[in-house]
Amino acid sequence: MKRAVLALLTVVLAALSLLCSCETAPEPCADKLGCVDLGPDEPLTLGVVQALSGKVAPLGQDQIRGLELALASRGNKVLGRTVKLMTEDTGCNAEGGANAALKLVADPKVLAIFGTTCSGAAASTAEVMSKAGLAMISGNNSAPFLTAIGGHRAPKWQTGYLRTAPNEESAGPAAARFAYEKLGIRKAATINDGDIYTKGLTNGFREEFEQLGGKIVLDATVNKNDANMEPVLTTVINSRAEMVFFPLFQPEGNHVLLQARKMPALAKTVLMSDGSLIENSFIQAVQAAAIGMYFVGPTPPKRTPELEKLEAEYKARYHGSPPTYYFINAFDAAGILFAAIEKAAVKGGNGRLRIGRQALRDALYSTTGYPGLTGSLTCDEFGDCAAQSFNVLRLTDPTSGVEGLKGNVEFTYAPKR
Amino acid sequence: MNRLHDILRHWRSLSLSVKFGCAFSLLLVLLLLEALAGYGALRVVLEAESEILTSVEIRQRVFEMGGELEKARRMHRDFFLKFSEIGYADAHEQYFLPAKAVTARVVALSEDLRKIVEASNVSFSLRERNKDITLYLTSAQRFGEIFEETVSQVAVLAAPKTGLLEQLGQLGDRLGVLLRGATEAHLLYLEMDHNVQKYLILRQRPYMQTALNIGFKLERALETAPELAPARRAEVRRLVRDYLVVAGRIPDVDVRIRGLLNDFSLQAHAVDPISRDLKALAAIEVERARARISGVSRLASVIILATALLGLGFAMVVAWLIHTTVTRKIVDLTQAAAQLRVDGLEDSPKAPEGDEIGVLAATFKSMVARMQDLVTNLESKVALRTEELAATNDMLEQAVRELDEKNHALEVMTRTDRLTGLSNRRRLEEALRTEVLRARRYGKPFSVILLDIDHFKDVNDLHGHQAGDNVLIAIAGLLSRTARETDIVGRYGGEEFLLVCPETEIQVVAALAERLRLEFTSTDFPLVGRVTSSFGVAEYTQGDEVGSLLERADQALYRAKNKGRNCVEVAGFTAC
Repeated sequence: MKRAVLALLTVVLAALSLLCSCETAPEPCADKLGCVDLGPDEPLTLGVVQALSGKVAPLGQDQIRGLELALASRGNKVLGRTVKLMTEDTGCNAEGGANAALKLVADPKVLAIFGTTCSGAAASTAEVMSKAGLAMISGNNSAPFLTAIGGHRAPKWQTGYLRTAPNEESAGPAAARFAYEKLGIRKAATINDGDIYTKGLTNGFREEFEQLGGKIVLDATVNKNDANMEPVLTTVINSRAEMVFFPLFQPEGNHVLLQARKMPALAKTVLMSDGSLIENSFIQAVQAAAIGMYFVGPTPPKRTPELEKLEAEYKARYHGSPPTYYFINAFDAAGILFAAIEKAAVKGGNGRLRIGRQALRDALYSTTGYPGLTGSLTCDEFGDCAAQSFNVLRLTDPTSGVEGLKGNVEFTYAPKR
Repeated sequence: MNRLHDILRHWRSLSLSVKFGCAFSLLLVLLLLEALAGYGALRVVLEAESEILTSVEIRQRVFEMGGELEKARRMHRDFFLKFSEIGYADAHEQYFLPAKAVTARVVALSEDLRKIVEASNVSFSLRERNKDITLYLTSAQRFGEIFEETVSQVAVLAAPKTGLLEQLGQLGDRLGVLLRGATEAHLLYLEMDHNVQKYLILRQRPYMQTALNIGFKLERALETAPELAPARRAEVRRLVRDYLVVAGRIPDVDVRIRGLLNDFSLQAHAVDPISRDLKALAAIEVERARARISGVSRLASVIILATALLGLGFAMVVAWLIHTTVTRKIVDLTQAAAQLRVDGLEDSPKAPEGDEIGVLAATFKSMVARMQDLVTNLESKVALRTEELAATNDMLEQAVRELDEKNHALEVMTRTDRLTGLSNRRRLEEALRTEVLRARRYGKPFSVILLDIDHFKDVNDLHGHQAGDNVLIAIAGLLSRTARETDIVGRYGGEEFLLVCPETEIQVVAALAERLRLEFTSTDFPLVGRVTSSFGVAEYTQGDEVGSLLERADQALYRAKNKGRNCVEVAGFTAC
């Protein structure tokens, strides 16, 4: 009888120990910023913060398209899991960026943020993101303030923030060199809209132009949504500037151009903007008024079979041509992010997955020679992954649109990193 | 059928103890079943009750949190509406500082709420909303930061003396005075100022830019204005430049303030639905728990009814078994015994074999002779035994009474100070703990008086310890007479006494202490004469423990001693 009881007890204990061993508790997270633990059926969650309303919405939409194309190229899966995108609109302003980021970082499952479109929104988004220990990558931000200026940390730099769009630190200098050296301009005026993106460009222009020996006779600011540009253009006339550098977005850029063309005193004044107006919608809106206007923008990527294939996929999927090349930067940004996630992920038992937040940042910063469609990408300590190269373009025929404009390269500036 | 017959035969052959054992085992199983069903139902009901309480608490916190955030927003709105009317400094004090405190409360509430949701047994959907609570928390923090920045920007714009608007006004006034007489320049100044005022009303930058352009013209006009002497011209030129610099800064500050206000509206847009959804979810939680309780109650009722019916069936089976195997045999045996009486105890009783009743019947016959003898002597033996039993019972009752009295005396001794007859320190600490718990739960006030006889050592040294003890006893009597019925009076140790005054605010207790102090002062203690005491009074505040409350009373008492004794010190202010 006693033997039977002992045997029964042994069987019960063995069964209990087997049950316990089936569900072992996961090891504590050793990553200093914390971990994202995913169950066997849980998707990877990414925050997407872009400008999806207002005039710049097409740019934000193109960023999402670049991300979607990158996902599609991987069968819509990363590490064998589906990817859930939590999308928020910034409205292309700093407040929108901060509030969108707050929503995303509140969710502990959000691994990283893909965004933003506008640099002003990027600064506030990156600040919230960085404090929360996440990583963020953009294919559209180009304001120098976000990463590095002159090889040093820029004022709005945040750890964990990276980008594949080129730092436009050299866009202003490219415009200044072209103006000074090729056009012989000695007195120039700049107009920004108070945003860190446009301010970064006008600052870069001013420093280079003054260093070359020119003089900035006016550094004016207009507000977003201002329609009456006559007063600021009158100030330009008063300043006797030979050239106006106004890296503004639509519609302010349109107003400046159209109203300048109606002022005889500005007939001989050179007008130059930047990549934010290299868009078909701008050319269609201003038509012949843009003839003779200059633009400074990033040098387009080299034509390769892979790039042509991606463009074909874009057209097939979205039934239209891309308004800018920035969807390619977005494609590369998404590719770098997915590669980093794969590098940082640690597979556990029972199909579980753990991704350390610091490990993900480290993987992103260690990106070297990534074969992107915009070229070979290497991310530096400030978060810049793309090389800087800028073209100065001149619009001669509005009917040929952006493609025609990009063919009229007047000047190229590509400083070494 | 044969099988049933075999079982019944086997049953009859079993002993009585085995039969009763089986019958009561069946009843026990039934009881266990009922107990298990009841326990299970009770547990589910308790869990559901806990969920309801948690959900109600969550809803209450959400309401509170939402209300407080709304209050902070109103203050924020009022700040902007009123600062130009009542002045920046007053608006800062009346709206900004209180809003800051309210925002801190919202942050604390949302942090609490997050912890409650994390720790409690709420539904998956509510637990999933924890990220929204985190967003609420961070948004509330951001609200505070942004409000602070907004106020600092408003200060740049509108602060008295240093604000841009005031600077602009002063520069404009001086320019207006200096340009009188210089017709063209004065007209340009008026046009410039007009555009600045237009900007300040409409906040459209082109107006300011136009003003700056006119300022440029004004500077040029100054060069050729014959009405202005060189020194005055230089002064006007300087003022115009300052005016243009100050005016040029205003739109940038406005843009920043507009951005911050946009931030507020985005925050509201993000967090308002959270508050609304959380309230709805908490309400759904309550309904879910209620439905669960209702379902479980119905199930438990069905189980209990089923087990009751089953129990009734079991009871009937047990009754039948006992009837057939025990009662009927006893009846047979009884009839046999009656027959024996009729027959003069000559016939042997009939009884079935197999159990104890059979054995009883077998021994029945041999007892007949002895029974006769027992019947004869029975009455005297019963009387004797009854008498003995009554005496034993009396002794036992006496012993029990004595034990009760001793227990009572022991209980009194453990809670009473032997010398004074007042509550001792243990009883006082129990009373304090009870009052702290009651105050914490119901939010009612209560206070304590800690008093210490002044120079009591001198009383002992001069008049002996017996006199000292008499003083302690007299003071105890005085305290008991003067304290109210609800107060707990005790000797806290040595010459220290403590009064615990439930549901009494500190002003009342301070007055009571003062009355006691006067009573002591006017009392002539035998042999010793006048004896005074120092009093420390303290009131319970939320968060207090017994130790912290007594410590404040003791500190008050210490202050009373330091102030020359024979006075009442109230924790927080003085009455001496």
